[in-house]
Amino acid sequence: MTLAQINLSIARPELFLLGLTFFIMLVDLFGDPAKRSQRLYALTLGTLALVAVYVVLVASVSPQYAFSNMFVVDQMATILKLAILLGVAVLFVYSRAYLETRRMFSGEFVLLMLFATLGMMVMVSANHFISLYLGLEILALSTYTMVALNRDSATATEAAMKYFILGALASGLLLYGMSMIYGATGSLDVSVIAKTIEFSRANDALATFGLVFVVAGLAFKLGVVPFHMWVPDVYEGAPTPMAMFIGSASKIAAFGFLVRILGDALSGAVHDWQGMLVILAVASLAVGNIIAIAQTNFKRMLAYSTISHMGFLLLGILAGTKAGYAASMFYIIAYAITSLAAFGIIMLLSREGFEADKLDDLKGLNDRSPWVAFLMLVTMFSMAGIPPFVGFFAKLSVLEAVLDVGYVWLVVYAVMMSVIGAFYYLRVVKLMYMDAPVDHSPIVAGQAMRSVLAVNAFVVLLLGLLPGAGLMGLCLHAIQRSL
Amino acid sequence: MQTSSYILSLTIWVPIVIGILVLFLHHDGQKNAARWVALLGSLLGLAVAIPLWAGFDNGSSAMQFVERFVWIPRYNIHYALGVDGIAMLFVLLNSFTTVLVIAAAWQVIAEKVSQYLAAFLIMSGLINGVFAATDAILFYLFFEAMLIPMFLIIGIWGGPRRVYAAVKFFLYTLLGSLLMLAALIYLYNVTNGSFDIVDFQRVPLGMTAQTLIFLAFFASFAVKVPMWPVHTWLPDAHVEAPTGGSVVLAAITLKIGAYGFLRFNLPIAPDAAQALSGFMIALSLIAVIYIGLVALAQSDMKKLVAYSSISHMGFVTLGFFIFNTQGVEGGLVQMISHGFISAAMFLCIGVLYDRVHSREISAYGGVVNTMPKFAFFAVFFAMANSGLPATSGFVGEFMVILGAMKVNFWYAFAAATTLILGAAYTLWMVKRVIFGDIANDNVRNLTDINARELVILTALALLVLYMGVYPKPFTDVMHVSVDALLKHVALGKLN
Amino acid sequence: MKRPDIPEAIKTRFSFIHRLLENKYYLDQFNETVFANGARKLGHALWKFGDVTIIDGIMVNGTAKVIGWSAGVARQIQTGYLYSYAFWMILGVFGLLSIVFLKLN
Repeated sequence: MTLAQINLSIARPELFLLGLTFFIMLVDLFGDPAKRSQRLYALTLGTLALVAVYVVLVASVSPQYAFSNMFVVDQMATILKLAILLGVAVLFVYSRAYLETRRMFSGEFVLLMLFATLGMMVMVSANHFISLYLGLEILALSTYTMVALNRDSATATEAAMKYFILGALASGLLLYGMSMIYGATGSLDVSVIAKTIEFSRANDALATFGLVFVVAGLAFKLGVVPFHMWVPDVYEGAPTPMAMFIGSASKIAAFGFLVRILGDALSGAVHDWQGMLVILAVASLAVGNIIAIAQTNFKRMLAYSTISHMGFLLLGILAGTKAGYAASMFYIIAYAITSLAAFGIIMLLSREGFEADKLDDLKGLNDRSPWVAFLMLVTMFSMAGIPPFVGFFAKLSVLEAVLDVGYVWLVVYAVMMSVIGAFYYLRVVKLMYMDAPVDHSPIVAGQAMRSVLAVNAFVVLLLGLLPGAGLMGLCLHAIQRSL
Repeated sequence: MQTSSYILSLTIWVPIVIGILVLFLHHDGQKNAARWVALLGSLLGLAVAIPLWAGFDNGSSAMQFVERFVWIPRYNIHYALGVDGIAMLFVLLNSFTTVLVIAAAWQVIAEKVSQYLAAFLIMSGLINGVFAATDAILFYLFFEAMLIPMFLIIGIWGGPRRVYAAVKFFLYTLLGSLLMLAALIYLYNVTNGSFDIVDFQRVPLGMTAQTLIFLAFFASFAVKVPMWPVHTWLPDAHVEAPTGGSVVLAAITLKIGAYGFLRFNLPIAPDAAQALSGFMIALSLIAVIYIGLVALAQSDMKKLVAYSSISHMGFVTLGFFIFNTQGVEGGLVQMISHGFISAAMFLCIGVLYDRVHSREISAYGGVVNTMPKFAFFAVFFAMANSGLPATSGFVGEFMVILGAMKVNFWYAFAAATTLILGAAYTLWMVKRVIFGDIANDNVRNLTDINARELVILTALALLVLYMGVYPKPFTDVMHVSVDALLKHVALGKLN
Repeated sequence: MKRPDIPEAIKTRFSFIHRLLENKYYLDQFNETVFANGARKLGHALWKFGDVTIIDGIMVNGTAKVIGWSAGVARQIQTGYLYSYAFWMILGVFGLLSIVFLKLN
């Protein structure tokens, strides 16, 4: 095999990111310690921007393969990568002050975050079970470590430990399932597996058995019931930026991963996994929405909210149609944007020794800062799926896809659960607008953070007013061209 | 189709944009500026709505002042606006009510003035959108988005149990409207990818599908109207809301529910509507009688008027589901008339509440001695509320009773009991509050209404009289549209 | 008036009829007690029993309470112990397996 056959050129963004990550590691070691944080910040944002430019440069309308079909660049991969890079960049802007005051904005954090980004990019571009798994593990190992970054915090360490052990179990399940599918089809290549199953040349029972384990592993990564137990503990225990990472960029990657496996490799077995996803979605919608009501910690509430949103995401996937995948893709990007804003506001309100992660910390926010309260109002109503915010159109497109394949009861069930869900989002609004403030200290935040946060919330509104102006159609187009 | 115009867009976006501007006047020193900007904004909103009345073609049942742009190509959703003889009246009613509400808040609201006024202006634009939208998703967007300002209005400026009332209001309505969303998506699939309400009305549907769709829309609109037994959010919301909130709730948002029946249930599921008309009439009559009796038992003025509203809206739905011209037109006249009268009743209660800070009937007595001008208006509107001839309250009720008589004597008989019950609870309240000896020092120290309040109440009183004496301009506007609707319903769409 | 005692006499002799006429056959009082009060009492009963107890108490707030209660119960599953988390995951795998194999048979 020659280098030309390997076709390195389309993997340039990933290779470039890897190179720059090592470069940042070296600079951090030998640079002037006084300007460390400023330098890391600038270098990281520069790296992310450059990588994004490269992603655009290697983008192609029809799928391009590299490394003997292990790696693919198609429209879905391009869009998801850009969303991931943007998400990570926004995360850096939001969390810089938070991490600096807690002395966590270090080379380790930056490196781990960039490695995680690399893992996510590999995940959404993988066309082979080995590369999929590789990307997943790069992401997972970096995330475990980042959750434990504040090593003096007992809750953070405990959360990281739980996450790590359960994650290892889930990876085991996933790998086991993949190996059985290999046994049934004789290949690890996504395209080959798809063809083998499509023409019924696979060993059905074995493939189905493998499928169950693969779905279980995927369910863990998404955090859907009953594989969700780690989510609340990690959200609450981890430093806020890490929870934000798990709830935004990482979920986008998990979506890509899910579609590559279920929507592409195992698309022929849709009738086998559809039933499983129905159960997982139904359970997640119920557990996420109902238990969220009983929470007093805002991050923990958001964890349960994530669980219910991932249940909703599965609804689009289980439709098993391109419209369904496209709806879920729009949903996950919309969710990630909204989630970034919500966590961003938590960090905006926090200060040294005060995490602002209790629901009661939001009391009377409208009296303290009408602007911040309004931004939070936008995110909460968007998550509740109320128009004119993007969350509504995300829900609409998923419901349309589900109804299109005839699951009327599932649609009715999902909207009923949305009403229950609306209750705890309303409670956040109630705390901000209808209660008197307990804490009167001024809200201090850098200009960069304030502006990005405002833009972020504005995008939540703008994508609600004009979802068709790009993203919604782009998702459909990407899915149609990629699968 | 007429040539394109932007009047409807203006009625939607002028209040919203000015509302957003008002939000920026949030400093303590800018309260008066916020008030003036909001008042000008509401007047401007009314001014841009006037051409709807002036330029309306009474001879056509088609949508007028049509605007149509592709909005979300992925789902073939359009930014499509238009009004027929039914919707147009409500755009005007809403724009007019907004002016009253802004004016009525002048000195009363002292906390977070800019947010209060902005919420009303934004809500006004959204409500105009509900009436003007001819694309189902656009309709849904306005229909739901409207909940947000109302939730905040009740929850921030309301009474002691305001949070409970606000959450109850929001969730009750959301449950209904999400079921409607499911029906809308179903219709989108059936029509091969259209969210145009006209396409929904045209597509043939089997009886089972029609019934389910009817029930889904019913869930949404019955809550809004509200019909018995999903009415219990209304007394809570009314009692806890500030005066302006009660006025908008009673005068406008309840009408959205009834409007929804005419725009969606009847034309989209005509056969199911006919099959279920007995059920709908039964619920309407229960509302008229049961709720009328419940209103008698109230000791809180706002709650009494809230129950009275439910009872009056029972008349409206009764009129709609007897499927004849008098019934439907009577229902519509009743809706507009109730918009004026209930607004006036809540404003009157607000006048008293601002001075004494109690809504209990027993806290008053002999108000006529200290507030003669106010007493005149209160008695007048009470008379109108109980359906006195020569007021607008009479016209609608009379038309509905006549229409019901044609279908079944007992419907008309049961509906007519409202004339007795309505008179009983309204006049009894007025008697105890306005007449008699001065009950206590609070009443003794009352000051009569000021010029601002006088102007507001006079405007409403003139409208109530005008519509009561000469309702023809109103029925002329709606007549052709109602006829077309009834023809469509009679035709059915089973095949 | 020549005999002012006559009305007085009639009043005493036919006191019952006099009272009846004086009170207009008691129709107003009948009206007041039976219709007005009856209606008010009926209204009160409908309000307290129908609206407050059945619709609001049982249906509306009852549903909210059931959901709130199940939230309180369901959160107990989240014990915080790693083994229970792993147990649920394994249970989940068995659940998914049984769905698939029930379908195969």
